[in-house]
Amino acid sequence: MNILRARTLSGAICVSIMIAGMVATTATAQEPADRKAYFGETHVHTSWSFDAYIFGNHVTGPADAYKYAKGEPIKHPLGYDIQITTPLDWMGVTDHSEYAGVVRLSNDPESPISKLAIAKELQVHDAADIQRIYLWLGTSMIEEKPIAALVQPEVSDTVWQANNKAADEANEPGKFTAFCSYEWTSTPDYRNMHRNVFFKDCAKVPARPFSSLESQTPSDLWAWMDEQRKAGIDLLAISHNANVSGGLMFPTEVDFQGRPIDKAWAEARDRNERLTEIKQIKGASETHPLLSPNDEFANYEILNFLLGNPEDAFITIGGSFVRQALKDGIAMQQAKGYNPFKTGIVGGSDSHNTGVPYRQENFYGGHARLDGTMKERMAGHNFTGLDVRLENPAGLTGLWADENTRASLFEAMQRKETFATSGPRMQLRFFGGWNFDGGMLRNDDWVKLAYSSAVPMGADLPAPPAVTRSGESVPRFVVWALKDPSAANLDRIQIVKGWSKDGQSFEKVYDVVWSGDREPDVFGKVPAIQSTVDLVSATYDDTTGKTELIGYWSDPDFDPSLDAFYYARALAIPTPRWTTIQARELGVPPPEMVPATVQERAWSSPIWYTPTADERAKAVAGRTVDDLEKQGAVALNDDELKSLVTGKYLWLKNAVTGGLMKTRWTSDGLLLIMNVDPRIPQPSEFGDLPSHSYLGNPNSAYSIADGKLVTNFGNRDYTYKVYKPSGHGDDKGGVGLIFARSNEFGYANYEVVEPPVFLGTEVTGATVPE
Amino acid sequence: MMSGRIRKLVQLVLPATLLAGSSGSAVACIICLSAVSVTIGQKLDAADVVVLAEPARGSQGFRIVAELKGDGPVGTYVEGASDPARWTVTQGGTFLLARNSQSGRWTDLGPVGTEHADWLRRFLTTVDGPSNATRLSWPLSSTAQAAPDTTNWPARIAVVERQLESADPLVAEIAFGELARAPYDVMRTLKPVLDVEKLRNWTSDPSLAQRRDAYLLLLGIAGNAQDAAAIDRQLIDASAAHDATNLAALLAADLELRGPDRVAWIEETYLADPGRSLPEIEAALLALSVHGNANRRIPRQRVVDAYRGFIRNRPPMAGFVVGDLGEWRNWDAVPELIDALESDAVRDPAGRFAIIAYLKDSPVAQAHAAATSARQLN
Repeated sequence: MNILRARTLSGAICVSIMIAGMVATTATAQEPADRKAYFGETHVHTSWSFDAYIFGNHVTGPADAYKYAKGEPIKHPLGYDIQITTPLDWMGVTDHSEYAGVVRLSNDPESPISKLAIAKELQVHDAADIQRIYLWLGTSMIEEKPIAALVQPEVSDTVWQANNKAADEANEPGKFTAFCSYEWTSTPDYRNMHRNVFFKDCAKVPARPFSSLESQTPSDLWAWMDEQRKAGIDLLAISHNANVSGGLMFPTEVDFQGRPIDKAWAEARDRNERLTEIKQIKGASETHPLLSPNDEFANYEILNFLLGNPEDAFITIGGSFVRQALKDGIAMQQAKGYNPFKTGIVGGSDSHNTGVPYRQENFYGGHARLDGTMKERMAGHNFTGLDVRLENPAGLTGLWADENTRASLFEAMQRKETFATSGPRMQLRFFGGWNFDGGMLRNDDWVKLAYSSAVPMGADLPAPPAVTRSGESVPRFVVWALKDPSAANLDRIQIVKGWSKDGQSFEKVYDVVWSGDREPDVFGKVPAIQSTVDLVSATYDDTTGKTELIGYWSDPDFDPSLDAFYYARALAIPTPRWTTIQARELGVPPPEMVPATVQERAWSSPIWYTPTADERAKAVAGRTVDDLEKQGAVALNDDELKSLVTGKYLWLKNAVTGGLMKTRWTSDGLLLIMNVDPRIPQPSEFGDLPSHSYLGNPNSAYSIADGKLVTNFGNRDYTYKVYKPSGHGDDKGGVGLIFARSNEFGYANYEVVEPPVFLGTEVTGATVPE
Repeated sequence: MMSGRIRKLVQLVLPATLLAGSSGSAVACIICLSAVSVTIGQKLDAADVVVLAEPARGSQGFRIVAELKGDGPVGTYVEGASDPARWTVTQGGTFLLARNSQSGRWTDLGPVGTEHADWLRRFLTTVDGPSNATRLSWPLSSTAQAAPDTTNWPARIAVVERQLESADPLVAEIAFGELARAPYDVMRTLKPVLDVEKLRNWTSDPSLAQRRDAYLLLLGIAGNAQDAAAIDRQLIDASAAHDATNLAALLAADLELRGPDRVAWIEETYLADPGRSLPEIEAALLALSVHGNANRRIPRQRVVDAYRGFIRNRPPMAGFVVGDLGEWRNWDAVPELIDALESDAVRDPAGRFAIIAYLKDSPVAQAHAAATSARQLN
């Protein structure tokens, strides 16, 4: 390793390293430090998927998907050739298990399926037949009534075997890995609950996959997976498109069937669903600007859309994004003793073209004839509500694995040593521990040192040691990113921290290492890198940014009594978005309804910190609803709530942060939250409180029902119960009443306080001038 | 084949109307993005049995009160896939039910009055049946092939015209759904029976915004100089504001009302103006395409000439019009397309593919050579 430059900035060190010095050893991997980043695809559909067929993908199947992944050209459903820019190391074809292959194979004279009597019903003689079949199969799925003839073993098992045979034939241990896999396609009420299921070994797979025709409930899928595991079949699930799940993907109280999110549910999810997809063609699921108002990079490939475009529904923010799920998970860990969302991170495509576009420069859509031409993509077309211009190139998964084999890659997924990219092959490492410092990075074998003294992405920090080298028990982290040689330079690496206290969760994004000589501003944020994008020519140059970044960071705000997670996010310099590139190629202005540029990025799986019982005990216990009720507190009824708030101002003090806010509850049902101090962290799912406060925007509408104040954020209700402590006198007005917010896991964190007295504003001893 | 192509193009002009035409009873693909908008009329065409039925007292089923298509004897009780909450509040009404032998289940398409039984029966006779369907090669290789149908359009358009904006919402929805997917040259046959005043009201009614495109087309067919002036004013406003809303339908109506001389204005204003957005350009092309396919009010050759100018002006977009040219078997654009291909102006692989296919199909030897050369280069 050739260290070109090292400097220390506010506790961080920045080292630039030549790429050439970092070429991974090709020796047989023996130690974790020898693990390499293997890039692959977790999510692709072929003509065997019922919907892909409807979209116009009629010819190419799983075998073609593997050919594409290996670098061979294949046909786009519209007939033109497509070829991947850089071959993949591995892939799992994930055709929908619901009636997988039956239409395509019924029309393939070579397939045994076409010889069955039922195949006649599925044979397409003219395109009107496609519509007929669509109505037949689609209605069956909507009504959750499987068509018996199509779920018989002679049909579904045969297709599944053919799928696995294609994987076996494509699998080349050490060179290219093809997984046996499929997609479980639960979509209750148009909410995406889809999961891809991967099997470790194609020699150990069930006779048939578990489909959403059998159950749309994730816990039923996990129960089936548990059964498979008992039978010696290793498998895992990857959830995806949380962003279009309508809040169902990451529930915190009950699932969509009303079943409680309890310890058993959390354990089943952790046991089976190790990973979640953070980005794909249909948008990013990391976070939303209203969930992360202080994250200037949160506004990234947001897709406001629900599958099927239901007329009376729109997206729900809470429960639909990964970062918030990670935050809710640690809050539940502290409040309830279990974390249902301890998930690793992957990227994927969800392409229905058999082939996948990963590059802005090579984006040919993901839905066959619906977005397969520039005209379809750029003219503002939408199919059932989705404007194609909102699509974006596929995400990609990197696995830190010992070797390119099914077993090794699967184990990497199991231990969550995974990262996602937005498409380019940027590599990302992330380690956390207690007993190392930035000096470690000057060693050629820093990766080996990191593995020996820290944990990699996806793991848990061990309990802090009693004695550390520095004398401080704060977690330390190493981040490293290497650009894709055929893509843009790197702007920066950040660490996203989430923590929780007394049911509230918080987040902060720290810039750890960045290119150039930019200095953090007074708020500690590194300014945006200068964009080199020329929008007219849709080009950029690599005169800014770095090919490689490495940095060290220790948490300046660490509290050992609080649950936390950390993940790394690497950002590339701004480059033209595909819409800008294709606008230039067509000679028209870029569309204004999407950003003209994009900063490609990579996300690591998190590293979690869970306090020991002793550490937890050191924290001052928060006030819970249970505590209040045991102490004789009584919840206000509707009339009392109405009397308390309607047309009133109330000052509330957040017991967790100490922050004060002035709440105004208008008589016509609007809630405005004011006097919010932007320096104080705000708990989750309030939206951009400081901005609302400053601008005077109502934070929410509110109503009163069933003894609760009902507010709304991001299309989800958040309620408050208000408690009158025992002995609270009515003469106090509202002062002393306690508000408990519904998403804070049983804590009652907001106390009505006297309006604060601001120094210098009170007038005493007024006199009349003479 | 031609009518199918036109139908597709009219659908492209009217995507929003098609969507609006499908109510909550529309089938949306549950496993992914719904790619197929199926009208209620198409569902009725696909059904083996269609009946009117009333909710059966004391059960979750229905009793057939009128047989409309197939074997559904009056008095028979059937189980319907319906939301019971909906039909209990409309107890006493009748519902349109359809059954497909493949699924073996009845589908409730919504409430409809018995007074529409005869109209529905007539509607259901306006399809020729699968035996007359165009036989296509397999596998399907083009989008145009994905859109044949067996509707007897002259008969159907006459039936549905009478029920446009019917007081019965389901009947209105069925009628509009079929209008929206009807070929444009068939729409033109309605000219003698269209009520212009109604069309003026419908095209200016905000509550019918989702149906405005189709009614603008009809207004273009049935309107007069007053309508031409009104549409012209809207086009001037749209052009100034770079607004592509309803633009394709406005331009198509304008062409119908003002004739071939108007093509030059479209060429100048939309096809040649470098400041136009892609939605605007596409709207202009769509309007020309509709008329080129109909080959009535605007001679197809005039559209071909416009396309050739468009290719010369915007060679990167040559692929946008090559599908029409190929389908019309018109090879006039061979020189322009060879230039576009050989200059490497067409970056869209789909566009290049379409141009190569066109050149290979053409009888022009030079075109074959260019196509072969381009394919080898690829």
